Amino acid sequence: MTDPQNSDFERPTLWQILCFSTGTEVDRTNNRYFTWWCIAWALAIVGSTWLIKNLEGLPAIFAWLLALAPNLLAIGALFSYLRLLRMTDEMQRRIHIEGLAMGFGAGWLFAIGYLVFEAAGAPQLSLTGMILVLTGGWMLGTGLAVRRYL
Amino acid sequence: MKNKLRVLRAERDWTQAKLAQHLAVSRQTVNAIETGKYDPALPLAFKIARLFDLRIEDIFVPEEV
Repeated sequence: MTDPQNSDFERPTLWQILCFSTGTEVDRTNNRYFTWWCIAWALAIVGSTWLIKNLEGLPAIFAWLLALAPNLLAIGALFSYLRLLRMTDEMQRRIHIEGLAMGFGAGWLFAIGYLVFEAAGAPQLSLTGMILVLTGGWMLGTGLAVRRYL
Repeated sequence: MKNKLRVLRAERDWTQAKLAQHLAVSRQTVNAIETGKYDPALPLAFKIARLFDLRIEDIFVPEEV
C-alpha cells in the first residue's frame, strides 16, 4: 500500500509556482508558449528601441510601426497567459488569481495613497516605481496563496 | 471539509502523482485536497467521485457533521 502520509511531498517554491513548472504536462506546454511570447516581446522592445534611436531619417510612420510591433507581441503574450490560466487546474488557477488580485490591489491602493504623499512634497511617482509595486504585490500575493494551499 | 481521498487512494495503492494523472490536475492539488487545505469545486468533486465510483458525500464530509 502506498504511504498514505506521502512524506516525500515537498512544497514547491514560489518560483516553481510562478512558472507553472509543478503543473500538468498541459501547463508546461502552455508555459513554453507563454515564455516564447515573452522572449519575443522583450527582444522586440530592445530591437524597436534600438532601431528608432539609431536609424537616422526614419519616416515617422515607420517609427510608429516599430513602436507598435512590441505591443502586438505583448497582446500575444497576454492571451497565451490567459490560455495558461484557463487550462491549468482549479487550485493552481486560484493561487495565480489571488496573486494577481494582490498585485492589482497593491498597485491601485499604492497609486492612490501616493497622491497624498505627492501633495506633501514627495517626488512624482515614476512608471518604474509603479511596475515594482505591481510586481512585488503579485509575487507577495502568490507567495501567500502558496502558503495557504500548499 | 474533511475527505477520504487519502484513504481511497491508498486502498488502490496509487501515488499522488498517479491520482493527479487520473484527475488531470497537478500533484500539488491532490496533496492540498488530501490535507484539507483546499476544497475542490463541483466539477472536480464529481470527477473524483466518478473515479472512485462513489457519491460526493461519501468522500467529502462537512466539518460540522
